[in-house]
Amino acid sequence: MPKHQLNPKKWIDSYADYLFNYTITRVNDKDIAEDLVQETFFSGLKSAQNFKGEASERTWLISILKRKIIDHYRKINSTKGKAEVRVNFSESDTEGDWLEERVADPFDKNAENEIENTELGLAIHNCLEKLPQKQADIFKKKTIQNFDTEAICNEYNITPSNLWVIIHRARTTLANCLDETWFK
Amino acid sequence: MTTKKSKLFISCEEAKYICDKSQYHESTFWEKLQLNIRYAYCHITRAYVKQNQKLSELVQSDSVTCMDPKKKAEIKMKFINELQDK
Repeated sequence: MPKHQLNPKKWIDSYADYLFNYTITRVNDKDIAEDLVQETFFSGLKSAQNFKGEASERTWLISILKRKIIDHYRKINSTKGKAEVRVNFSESDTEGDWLEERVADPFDKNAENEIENTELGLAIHNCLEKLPQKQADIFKKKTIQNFDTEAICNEYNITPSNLWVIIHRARTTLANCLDETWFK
Repeated sequence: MTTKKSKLFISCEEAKYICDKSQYHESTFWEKLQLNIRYAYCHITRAYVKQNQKLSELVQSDSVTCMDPKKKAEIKMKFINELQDK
């Protein structure tokens, strides 16, 4: 019997943020990252019969995503000269500004820091996967996406006191998890 | 016999609760004062505050991102439809 089984119904809730974080650090464009993650889920569904169960669902999805990212860069390279590759999150008012120009001290960020930061994002999402779904969602909305307390309370039909209890539990679990995985 | 709850001196658990709120700049002036008093004499509170600040720093760093909830919902809807058609 295979060690792991696929459960596509839970893919989006469980892995969308992890895959997005993985992609955004590699393509530096929010829209492209979203598209690649979406394509990964659909490709995964199409090739579900090829899943042998040796790796976890997430590892398997990441392997599909890696191929999508490589394909994306191949496509860019094939149109070299026509398109300018930018490394910033382009907004209309900052268009033309290169990310490097906006960094205070470009020498401060070495390759090691970059790798560490990429891994940090994944380590945090790894730990968030250990939380109950609702707790993780509320924590992400409040802490990473900076939603208002009121908006979250309305969406989940909870009181502010409930929200802070959920946040406290999530923070405690996350701190313990990062202690074991990140600070070790 | 009931014990009268102090307004100025709070328990460790209450301090943690306020400390969490402070990470999002949502604690009141009075709560901050209560937390600071507890912080001055309680090593558990001090350790919690330090750990909590470190956690905020990590989680709010640029390398931690999430997909836009609207986009996620949109993908989820398309994906569920695809699953049902399968």
